[in-house]
Amino acid sequence: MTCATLVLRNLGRRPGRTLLTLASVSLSLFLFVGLRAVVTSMERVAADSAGQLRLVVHQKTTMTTLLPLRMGRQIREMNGVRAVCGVRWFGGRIENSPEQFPSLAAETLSFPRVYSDFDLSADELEAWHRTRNAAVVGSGLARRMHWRPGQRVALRSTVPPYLTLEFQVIGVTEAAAYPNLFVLRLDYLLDALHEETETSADYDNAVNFFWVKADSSANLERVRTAIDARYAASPHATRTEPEEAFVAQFTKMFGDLPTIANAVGTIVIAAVLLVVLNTMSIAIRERTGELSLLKALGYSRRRIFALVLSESALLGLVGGLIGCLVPYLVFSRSASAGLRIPYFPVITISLATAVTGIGAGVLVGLLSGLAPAWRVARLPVTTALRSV
Amino acid sequence: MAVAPLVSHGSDETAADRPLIELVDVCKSYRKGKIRINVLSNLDLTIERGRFISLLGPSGSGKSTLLNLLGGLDTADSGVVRVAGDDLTQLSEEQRTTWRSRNVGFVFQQYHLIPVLSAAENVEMPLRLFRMGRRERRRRVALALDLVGLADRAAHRPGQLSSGQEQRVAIARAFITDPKLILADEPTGDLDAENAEQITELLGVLSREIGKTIVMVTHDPRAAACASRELHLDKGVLTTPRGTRRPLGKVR
Repeated sequence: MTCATLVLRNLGRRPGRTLLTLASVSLSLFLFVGLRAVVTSMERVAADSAGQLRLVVHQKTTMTTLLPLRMGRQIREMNGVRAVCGVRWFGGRIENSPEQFPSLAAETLSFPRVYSDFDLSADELEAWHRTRNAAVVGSGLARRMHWRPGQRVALRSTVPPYLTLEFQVIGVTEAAAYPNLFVLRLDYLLDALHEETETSADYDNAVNFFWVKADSSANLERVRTAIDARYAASPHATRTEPEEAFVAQFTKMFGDLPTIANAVGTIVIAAVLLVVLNTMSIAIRERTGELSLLKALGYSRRRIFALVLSESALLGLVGGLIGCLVPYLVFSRSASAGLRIPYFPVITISLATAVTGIGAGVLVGLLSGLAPAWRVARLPVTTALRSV
Repeated sequence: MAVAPLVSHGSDETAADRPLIELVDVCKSYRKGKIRINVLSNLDLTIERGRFISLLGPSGSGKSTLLNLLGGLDTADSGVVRVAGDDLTQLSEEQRTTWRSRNVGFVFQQYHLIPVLSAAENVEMPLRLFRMGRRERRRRVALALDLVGLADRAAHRPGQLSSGQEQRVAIARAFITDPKLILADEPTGDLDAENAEQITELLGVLSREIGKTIVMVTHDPRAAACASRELHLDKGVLTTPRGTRRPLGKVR
C-alpha cells in the first residue's frame, strides 16, 4: 500500500461527488483551452502572415469599395515591390448547404508568386494556369466537402449580381493558414460578370484588395507609405497595412476576441477553483478525525499537508487530462479537424495549449487544496480526536 | 508468544534500567473563555517498563489529559514528562511527532480505522514512516494480524469486520512498530462483554509476553482488574484503589 493508493481510495469514497467535481473541472478546462485556442490560432495566423512580407491595399474608407485593376500594375512598378495580386470577394455558397467559407478571386499570374505559401505543386500550377475555371481549396474545406482534384463544384455568389459559376478543383493546399479558403481565377469571374450584366468596365475590372509582396522586410514600411502617398489625392485613396494587421482588424470586427477570451477563461478558472475548494473542504472536514489519527501515529504536518494537496492536485490533473488532452487528441490530427467558425482560421488546440490547460488544472487543484490542507495540518491532534 | 522487535529504535536502549515513564510535578490547565481550569496539579508518577496499568476515574478527572501528555499529543504547562528517556516538554511539535511514531502505539475507543483501507493496510500505515521494504512490511503486518487472530481477515475493510475485530486491528496497528508504550483509551468501551474480555486479554498478552508497557483508561472494573496495577485519578490527583488521597510513588 502506498500513499498514492490512499489518495486514490480517498477520491473513491464518494464516487458521485468525485465524478461531478471532475466533470465540472473537465468542462471548465475544456472551455478554457477552447478560448485559449481561439487566441493562439489568431496569433498563429498573424505570426504566419508576418513572415510573408505581404501588404494589403484597400480603399481608404471601406473594403467594399472597389479599386481599378490598373492600380495593381502601377503598384508593381514601385521600388521594393516583388509582386501584386488583385483579389475580389466572390462570397460563394453551395446551393442548399449551410457551409460557409471565404471565396476569393485572385489574379492568375501573380497569385502563385504572392501566395507562395500555398505550396502548389508544379502540376497544380500548370493546371491553375491552363484551366480557366480552376479553383484551389484549403485542405479542411476539401475534406469536409469531399472534394478532390478534378472535381467540379458549383458556387453561387452572395454579392450582386449573384452569379452561379462552376469550378474545377485543381489543387488542395495543406497550408495551415488557409484551411477554409476557396480561391478562383479573377479573369474567370470578371468575364462572367461582363457576360452576365451590363455593368460598367469600372465595375468589371476592379478588385477589393491588392495583396502586395515586398522584396524584403526592410522595404515593407517604405512600400506601405509610398502606396498610400501615391493615391492620397486620387479618387481611389488607399489604406495600406501589413497583412497581419489587416487580419487582426478583420477578426476584431467580431469584437476584441483575445481580450474577451482571456477574461472569460480567467473567470472560468476562478469559478472551477471555488468548486474544487468546496469539494476539498467538505471532504477534508469529513475526514478530520482520520487525518488527525495519522498525526497521532507520527505523520508529520508536512506529510498530512502533502496528502491532502496530492488529492486535490490529482482531481485537477485528471480533470485537466479529460478536459484538455482528449480534445487535443481529437482536434490536433490535422488542420481540418479543428473547431470551425466561418471566416476565421480553423481553431486548433495545440499541444502547448493543452499542456497549459492541464497545468491550469493542476494549479487549480493545488490552490484549492491549500486552505483545507493547511487547516487540517495545523489542527491540534487532541482537538480533532476529542480524546486519546 | 514472542514477537521479534519489529523496528529498531536505538535511542533508549542504554537506559533500559530506568523507568519508562517519569512525571515530576506536572501541571496542566485549560482555558475556557476567561476561566482557567486546572486539570492536573503537581502530578508525580513513575511507571516501570513492562507494566500494564489501568487508569480509572470519573469523567473530567484528567485521564485523557494524562494520556495525551504521555503520548506526546499535548504538552504540560510545567513539570517534567519523561517517557522512554525523552523529556517531552523539551521537544518541538515536529520532534514529538517523530517521537510518537517510534515510541507510542495508540488504541482508541472508536478504533479510528481508515474505512477505505483493508485491515492489513490499516496496520501497515505506521510502518510507512520507516525505511522498510514492501516485503518486510507485509511480513510484519501478517505477523501482527496473526497475533491478534485476524490472519484470515487481512483483506477485509473495517466495514466488513465486527467491532471486536476492528479493535483487534487497531491493537495490531498499535504494536506493529514495536513501540515501548501502548496507550489505550477505553478500548472496551464500545464492545460487548465477550469482546471486551478478549481485548483486555490481548493487551495483557502484549504486556506479559512481549513486554509492552500499557496504560489503559477504562470505566470497566473487570477490564481494570486484568491490569497489573490500578490507578485512580480524581480532580487531577492520583490515588490508590482504596481511595487514600496521596501522591503516587513508583508503580511496580
